[in-house]
Amino acid sequence: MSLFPKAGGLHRTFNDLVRVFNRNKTSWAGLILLLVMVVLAVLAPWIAPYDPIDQNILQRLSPSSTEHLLGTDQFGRDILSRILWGARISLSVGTISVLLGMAVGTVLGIFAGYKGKFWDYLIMGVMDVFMAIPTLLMGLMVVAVLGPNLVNLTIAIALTVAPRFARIARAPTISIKNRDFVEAGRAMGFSDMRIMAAHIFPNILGELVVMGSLWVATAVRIEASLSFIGLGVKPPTPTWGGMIREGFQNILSEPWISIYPGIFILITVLAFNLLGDGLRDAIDPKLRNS
Amino acid sequence: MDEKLLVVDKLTTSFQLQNGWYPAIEDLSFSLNRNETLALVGESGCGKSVTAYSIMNLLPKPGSRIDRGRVLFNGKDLVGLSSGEMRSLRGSKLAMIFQEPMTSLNPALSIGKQIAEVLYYHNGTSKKEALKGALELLEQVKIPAAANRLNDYPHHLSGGMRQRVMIAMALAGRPEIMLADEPTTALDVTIQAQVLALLDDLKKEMKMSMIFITHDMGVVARVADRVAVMYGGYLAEVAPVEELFANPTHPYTEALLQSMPRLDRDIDNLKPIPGLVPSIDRMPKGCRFAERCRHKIPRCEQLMPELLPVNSDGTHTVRCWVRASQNISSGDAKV
Amino acid sequence: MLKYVLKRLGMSIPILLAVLTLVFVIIRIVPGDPAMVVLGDQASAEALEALRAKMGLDAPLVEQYLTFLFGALRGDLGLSLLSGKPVLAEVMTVLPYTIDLTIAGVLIGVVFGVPLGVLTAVYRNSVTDYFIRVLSLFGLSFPAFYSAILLILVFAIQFQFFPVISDPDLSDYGQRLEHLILPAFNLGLIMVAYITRSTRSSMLEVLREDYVRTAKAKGVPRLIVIFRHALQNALIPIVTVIGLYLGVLIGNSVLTEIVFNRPGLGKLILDALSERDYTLLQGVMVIYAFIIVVVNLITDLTYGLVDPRVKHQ
Repeated sequence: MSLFPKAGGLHRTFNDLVRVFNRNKTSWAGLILLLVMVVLAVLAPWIAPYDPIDQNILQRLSPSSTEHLLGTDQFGRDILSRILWGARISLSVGTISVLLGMAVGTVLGIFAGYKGKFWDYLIMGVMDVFMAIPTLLMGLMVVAVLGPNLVNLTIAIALTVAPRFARIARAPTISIKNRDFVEAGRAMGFSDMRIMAAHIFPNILGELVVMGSLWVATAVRIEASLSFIGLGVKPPTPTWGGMIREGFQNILSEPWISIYPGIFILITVLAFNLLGDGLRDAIDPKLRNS
Repeated sequence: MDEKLLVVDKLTTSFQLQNGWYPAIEDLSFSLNRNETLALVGESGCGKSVTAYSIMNLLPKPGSRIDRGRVLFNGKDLVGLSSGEMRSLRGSKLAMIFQEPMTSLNPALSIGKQIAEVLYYHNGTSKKEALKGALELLEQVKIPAAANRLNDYPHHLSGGMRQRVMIAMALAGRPEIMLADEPTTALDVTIQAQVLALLDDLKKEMKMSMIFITHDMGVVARVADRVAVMYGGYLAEVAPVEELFANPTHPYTEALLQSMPRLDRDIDNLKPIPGLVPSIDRMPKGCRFAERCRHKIPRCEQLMPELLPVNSDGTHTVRCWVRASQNISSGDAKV
Repeated sequence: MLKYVLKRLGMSIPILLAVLTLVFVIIRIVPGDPAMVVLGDQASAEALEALRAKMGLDAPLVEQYLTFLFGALRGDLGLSLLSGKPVLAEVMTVLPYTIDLTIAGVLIGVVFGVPLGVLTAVYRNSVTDYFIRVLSLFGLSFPAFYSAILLILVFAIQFQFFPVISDPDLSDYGQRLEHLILPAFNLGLIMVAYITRSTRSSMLEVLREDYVRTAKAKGVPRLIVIFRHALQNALIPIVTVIGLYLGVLIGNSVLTEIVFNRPGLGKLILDALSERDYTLLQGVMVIYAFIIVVVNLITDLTYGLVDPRVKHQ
C-alpha cells in the first residue's frame, strides 16, 4: 500500500496525507513539534535576543534571568541565542545527510536490482559492509580522518544511511523489472533507469518517508554525539552537542549550561521519531489494529 | 432420545469495522442433539465460523462481541461465563479443530507436549502421565509409529498427520461436543477421506456430538445427520440430511447443490452461484439472498422472512417468502 | 545443525575481511601526510621520515594493506604512537570494562524490555500500551551522553548513591558492581526502549497466529498461552534484535564511557582522537569489527538453537 496516490492533483495528495496523519495522532504530535523547531531555526537571526558568539565576561555563568532566559555559559554567551542558532546546524545536518544518503542509496539499490548478478552482488555486498559498522563509529572515523566540519559530518552520516535505502529500493526493482511496461517504455525510447524510477518511486515513497524520518532522528542524535565528543563543527559556531561538551566542564556548579541544549536535542529527535513511527503505523496494515 | 445438548438461542455477534459495529450472525437459533452431527454449511463469510467461535468464546478481542442471545450447554448459559469457567470447559467438554493444520500447531513445541498439555491442565495428571496419555491418543488417531513421533515437531509432519495431531489434542479432554471448522478443506482428497472416516469412527467410539463446519456439500453428505444452511448471518434452511438432499427448498440450498460436482451429473451442468455474499456492512434489508435469487418477489427485498416448517413434523424449516409459503399451502391442501 | 554452523562461520569470514578493508581504507584517506598530522607542520624532515617508517607509511599501499590485514588477523595491531605499547595490549587492559558494561546493559534491556513488550502487546491500544509506547519512543530519542549526564546529576551528584567517575578496581567485585550500576542503567534503559518495541511488534504478530488460537481452544491458562505459546515463538526473532541493535549498543557504550570517564574502548578512542594516534584508532576499530562479526555469528547460532525448524535440520 503506497502512501500517496499514483495519479491525482496536489489537492488529493494533500487530503490523502491528512488522512494518513489522522489515522495516528502521534504523527501529528511529531509534526507539530518539528514545525516549531523549524520555525525557531529559520527565525533564529531575528528572534535570538543576543549574538550567539559575542562574549560577555562580566555576565559569565549567570543562571536564568529576565535578561538571559536560559542563562549564560562560561564566556558569558546567551544560551538561548546559541540554542536557536544551534537548531540550524542540527536540522540541516540531520536532513541533508539523510536526503543525500537516501538519494545515493535509492539510485544504487535500483541499479543493483536492475542489473542483477555481478553488480547486485558487488553493490549490495559493499552496502552490507557499510551497514555492519555502527553509525557513530563510522562518523567518528570519517570525521577524525577528514577533519571536523559541516560537510564531512554530513558525508559521514550519509554513508551509513545510504545502505538502508539501497535495500528498500532494490526489492521492488527486482520484482518489476521484467514486466511489460518496462519493455513498452524502452520501445518509446526512455532510458531503463528512468522507467524503473518512475514505476518504483510511487511504490516505495511511503517507506522512504517513514524511514527517512526515523533516520533523520538518528542523524540528529549522531551529529549531537559527534559534536559532544569534539568532532562536530568547530567552535565558536554554536551546536547543541558542542554546547553540552563545553557545559560539561562546569557540570557540578552550573549544570543548566548542558541541560538546556540537551532538551532541544531530545525534542527534535523525539519529533522525528514520533512522525516516522506514527506514519509507519498508519501505512503498515500489519501493525494496525485488527 | 433427542436430548438437546447444546441450544443456541437468538445469538447475535458483531464485528467492528472502520465505521462501527456490524452483526456477522443475527438472532441465530439452533440446537444440537446428543450423538448428533450437525453440519453448518455455507459460503465463506456466511457466519458459520463466527458461530463456532461464539460458542467457544474464542472471538478475537478487541474487535468483536456477542451482543445478545444465549448458548445453553447442558442447560448452562455459556455467554457471560467468567473467563476461568469458560477456560475449564474449552479443551475438555468443548473441543475444536481448525482448518489450517499447517499453522494451527505451535512450531516451537513437540507434538507430544502439545497434546500432553491438555491432560495436564484439565485432568491434573502429572507431566509424565500426560505424555503417556498423549502417546495413547496418537495411537487412537492412527498415527503410525506413534512412540517415535512424540518428540517430533510439527514441521516434521505432513498436513494429514498434523490434522490427526489436532484431532488427538481435541480428544484429549474427552469432549462432549467437537466443533470442527472445515477440518479437511486444506487436505488432499484421499487424505480428506481418511480424516473424515477417522472422525466418524471416533465420534461413535467416544459418543461425541459434533458441529461440522464446511462449504462442501459432498462432505455434508458423508458426515452429517442434520444440516443447517447459513447465508448472510442467518439460517436459511435446516433439515435432516436425507430430507435436505431429497427436497432442497431454499433457493440458496438448491443453488449450493447445483454448484456441487457429482458423479451422476455432467460437469457441464455445474451451476456456480452468480454474485457474492454481501459483506457484513452492506447487508440488504430483506432476505439476505434476494439479490442473487432467481425466484425473488418484491417482498423479498423488503422484509426478512421467518424460519418456518415446511414438512408435517417440523424438522425441515426454511426461511423463504416464495418457497415456505408455497409448501405450507400445498401441505394444507393435502390435509 | 552442524551444516548450519559451518555455513554461518563461512559467511562471517568474508564479512570480517571486508569490514577490515573498509577500516583500512577510511583511515588511509587522511588528506595530506599522516605523519605531519601527528607531529604538526613544525616537525623536522628527519622526525617525519622516522614516524613514516614507524607507521609503515613508506611501503607501497598494497604492502601496507597486506601487513595490516595479516597483522589484524594474527592479533598484531601495531604499536600505539602515543604510549609505544602494542595496541592489542592497550585494548586488552580496558576490554573487561567495556564487556561488563555492555553485557549489563543488554541484561537490563532484556529483563525490563521483554515483559514490557509483552504487556503492551497483550493490552494493545490500552492506556498502558500507549503510555509505555510513548515512553519507549522517548527512550530511544535520548542521546546516550545526555542521559548519562542527567543520571550523574541526579544519582551521583544530588543523591550521591553512586560515584561520579566510574573507574573501578576490577579485582574488587563490590566496587566493580558499584561503579557499573549507573553506566549500565544508562546503556540499559535505552536498550529497554528498543527491546520493548521489538517484543511488542513480534508478540502482536504471534498473538494473531493460528496456534495461539489453538492453545486458547485447548483451555490452557491465559498466562501459559501468553508466555509458553506466544512469547516462546516471539522470542525467536527477538534474539536477532541484539544483533540488529549492536550498532546502537556500541555507539552508546562509547558515549557512556566518555561521560562516566570509565576505562574502555570508548575512552581509548577518545584518547586516540585527542592525541592523533591513528594506529590506536585503527586498532580499536579492528577490535570493534571483530566484535561485530562475532556477535552477529553468535546471534545467528542462537537463533538456530531456539528455532526447532533450524535445529533439527
